[in-house]
Amino acid sequence: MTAPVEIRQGDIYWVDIPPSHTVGSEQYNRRPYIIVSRTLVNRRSRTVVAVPLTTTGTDDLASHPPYRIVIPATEMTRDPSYAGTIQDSVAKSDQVRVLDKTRLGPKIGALSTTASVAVGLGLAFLFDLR
Amino acid sequence: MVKTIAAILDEMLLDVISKRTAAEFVEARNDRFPKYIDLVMSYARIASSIIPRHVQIRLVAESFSEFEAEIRANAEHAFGNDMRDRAVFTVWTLRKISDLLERAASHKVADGDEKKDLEFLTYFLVNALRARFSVDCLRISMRTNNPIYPEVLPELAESLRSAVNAYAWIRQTIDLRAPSNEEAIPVWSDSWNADDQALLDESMHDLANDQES
Repeated sequence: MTAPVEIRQGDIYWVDIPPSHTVGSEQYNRRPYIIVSRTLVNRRSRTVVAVPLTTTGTDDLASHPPYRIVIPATEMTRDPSYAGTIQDSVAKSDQVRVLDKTRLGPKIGALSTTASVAVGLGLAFLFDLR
Repeated sequence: MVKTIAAILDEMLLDVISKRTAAEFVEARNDRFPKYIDLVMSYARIASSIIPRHVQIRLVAESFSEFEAEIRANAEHAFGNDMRDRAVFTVWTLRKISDLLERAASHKVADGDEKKDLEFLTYFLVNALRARFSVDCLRISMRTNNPIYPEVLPELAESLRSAVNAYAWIRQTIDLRAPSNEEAIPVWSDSWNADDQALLDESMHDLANDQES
């Protein structure tokens, strides 16, 4: 797997975390991840920080705590190289994790600025950043 | 006049939270919301014209603290754990928005950006008022011991999420008024060291296998 050249904050990539690399309730399998680390930091680091997206529970938002941010499909732009569909999703801020860049698969697209800022808010609450 | 507006607002909110079904609640909210906006904006205009700025800032901060205390003390009993957590998150977000409003006010709009600035602020205001309406429903319910019917709570929870949108729009307003120049910062040298690598290896390691071995 080749690491992308420029990984920007708000970009969405497929990431495959094998079940054997997780324990308990940690997220695994192939799913979209939003890059939440700054573009500036991504340029110099071998890692990125990312939040997984899920489509589970988008029809029942009460099933997600408030710091998980709802991302309507209209707030995501599809990468020209991605042929799949973009669906309404929820950003699971509480499953944020560090990823080696080599774990990033094909690029799916990117969040709108509004959605990207909203995900940042979920993380700020999670970490109690004032 | 301020007391009269507050009394009219309370009466309006009490009527809205008295609805028994989600459909009735939504209908009542949609009907009253334009008047609610008028009243809240009038209240804000009067307050800003008679109360010094530094006092307003202190009063807003105190009102957030009071409401947070009220949520901690009463929200679980009144609405259950889930709604209490949503109220805590919403008030925390509104507090952050309040700080950001101060920052936004300290920057002027650049020539040519006026239309975009107005568009962002309009989106912000609609979302902030929608969230505040829901927060006010919770507040009036707790203060008057008037319960909110269970079928109505998911509607309230949904509209509390508007605070997140309001935050995003006011952040974008600030970014428009005071753009960051981060893109122009040169990339600093790669200082990746053995400790960084060890931490990365650890975070990616198969913990399950470690525990088994």
